[in-house]
Amino acid sequence: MGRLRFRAVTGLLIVLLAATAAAQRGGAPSTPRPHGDHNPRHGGQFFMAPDNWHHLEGTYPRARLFRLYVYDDYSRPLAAADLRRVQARVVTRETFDPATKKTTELAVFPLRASRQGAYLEARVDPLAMPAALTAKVRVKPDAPEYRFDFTFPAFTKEPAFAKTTAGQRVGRAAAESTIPEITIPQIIEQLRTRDEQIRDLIRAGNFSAVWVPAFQARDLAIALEPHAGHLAPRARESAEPAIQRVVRYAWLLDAFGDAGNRQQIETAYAAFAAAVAEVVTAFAGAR
Amino acid sequence: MARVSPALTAAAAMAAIALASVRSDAHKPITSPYTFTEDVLPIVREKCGACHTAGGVAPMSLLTHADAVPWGESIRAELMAGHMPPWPVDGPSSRFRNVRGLTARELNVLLTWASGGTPPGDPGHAGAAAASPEEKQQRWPLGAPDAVLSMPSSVTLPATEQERVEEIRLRTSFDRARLLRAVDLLPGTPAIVRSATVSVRAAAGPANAQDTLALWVPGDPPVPLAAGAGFLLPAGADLIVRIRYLKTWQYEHQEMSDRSRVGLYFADEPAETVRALGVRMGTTVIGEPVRALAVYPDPALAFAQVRAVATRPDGSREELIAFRPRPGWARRYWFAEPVALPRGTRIEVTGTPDDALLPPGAPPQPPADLSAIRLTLDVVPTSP
Repeated sequence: MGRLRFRAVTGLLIVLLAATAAAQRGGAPSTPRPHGDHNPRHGGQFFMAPDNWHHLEGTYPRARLFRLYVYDDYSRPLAAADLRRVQARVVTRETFDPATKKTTELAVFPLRASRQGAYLEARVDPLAMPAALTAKVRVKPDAPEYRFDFTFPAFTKEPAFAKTTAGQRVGRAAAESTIPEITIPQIIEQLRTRDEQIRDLIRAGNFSAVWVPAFQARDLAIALEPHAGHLAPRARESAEPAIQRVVRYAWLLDAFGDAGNRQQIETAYAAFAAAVAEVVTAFAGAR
Repeated sequence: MARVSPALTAAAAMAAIALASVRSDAHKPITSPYTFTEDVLPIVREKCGACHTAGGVAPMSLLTHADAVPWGESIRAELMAGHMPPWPVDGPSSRFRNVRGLTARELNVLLTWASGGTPPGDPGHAGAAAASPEEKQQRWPLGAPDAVLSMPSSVTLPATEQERVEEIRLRTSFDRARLLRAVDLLPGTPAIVRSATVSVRAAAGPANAQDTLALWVPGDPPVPLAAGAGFLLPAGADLIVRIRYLKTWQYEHQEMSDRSRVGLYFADEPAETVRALGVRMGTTVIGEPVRALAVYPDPALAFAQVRAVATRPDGSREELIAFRPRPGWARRYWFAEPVALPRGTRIEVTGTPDDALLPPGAPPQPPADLSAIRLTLDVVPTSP
């Protein structure tokens, strides 16, 4: 019995140390990491809270039903006790006064923990598709309230198998590929296309997908930067800061896309689009 | 009571260490193709190293991987907010001489690295071919000054004092008025000298002679006036050095002393005396033809979006500056070329609260005091 226990302990140690070594080498693909997996678990929309720790997934599985799953930094579901401390409501209609910056909620529904504590749930009023709902969430009583804007083009379908592989973040390296040798007009045309794609994704409420065309636009802008020096002085004066702004706002679009706040992402997009327009104007006629 | 096996206890302890190690070492997946030593360090050394160095005025060094990694999230937030490097000009940088901004590519390298797992790179690549920022801090960027004035004694911040503004009078002993092409400050203890103003106090002098000789902030090298212009230092005048001392968290509860020096660089004479032309919110009409050499804000101006545009009598318009001054970073913005402002030119200054986009989770900015929107132009008369 004693020998058997010793072997078991030794085996446990070997497994743990091997896992540690693998993680320190750079990690096996299946190694769970904070923010290593932003894939939805239940086929919904997945956002990261501004506290950079919590993650949320909203689903709209059938008419008049909204569910909110809350996860930790490893995208693991919160324990039922922690979920019950979350204070949240869902808003389906509201008005915003830009002058006073005051939001008035017209249709509000409390989000309550399900019996098993797996998610928060609210019965909402009937919504036309695409269904737009806003979750307003305090992840704990003393935390600030965060806003998450969900848009569902159709009812959410639970996937057959839960997705747990780290996909999105690791895939970003691929999005940072260099721009192949193409002409300036071709870069400008692609920049315009990415701008339109971002606009359409935001209109559709598909915020978590915005980073793809945003980072493609960023790479296109960086590819233009060495060419700005060949522009006429006036155009150059305009192009250089505009290119820098395209890059900075692309990163902000990525960050706001993760956070899922429509007002912030629309503001970032307006600034991004203005910068793109400046770049396009500055390079008009360049070859 | 059942005894716990020593082997099991040891296994549990090692398992805990192993798991803790996995969690801390593997905080983020490495997605950045850029590494610290090969890509980040050259940028940081050039653009951030004047402050973010050991013993520098910034609260952390960024010049080694070990120093920089814990600040990855802060670096990301500051860059995305546009707060760092502190170059708050919205318009084209090429219009100014003392630019401190990042190129688009540099910005992207830093953000990609900070967001993508902060990989270290090859440690053998981090050669120190160029002078280290620590060494640069002990040198006069414009070379040896023509005259150096030391503070008469050290200023000491006791352990209990975190911040202080100290005004020091420096006596000059020149037997005649001198024109200066540059005035610089070399901190005795760079870690606590956060900003400084050097001005001249004279009993007599031409009306509107520029009395603010230097607005010093760390990492902003002095810009000498071009030949033919100089700041007036009347005979027997005193220099007033106003230094803001601030301890970072590294020096809290420590006694710190400083004895800074002021360096004066004489201009070739004859030269025109630089004058101060103040402009406020609204419209200012230029009475005499001048050329503007630089512009700077009131030190209290912050969190506002300010724009100054000159409209000449011939109808031509030129943006002088569009910027969002940050607190504690009042400095001169030197025009790359002097800006001609003929008689009758209207300078319109507009300002609104800064609506800068801040990344998610960033604290909101305090409201701007728009009454502090005052700019000063350094001007010299235009020859008829």
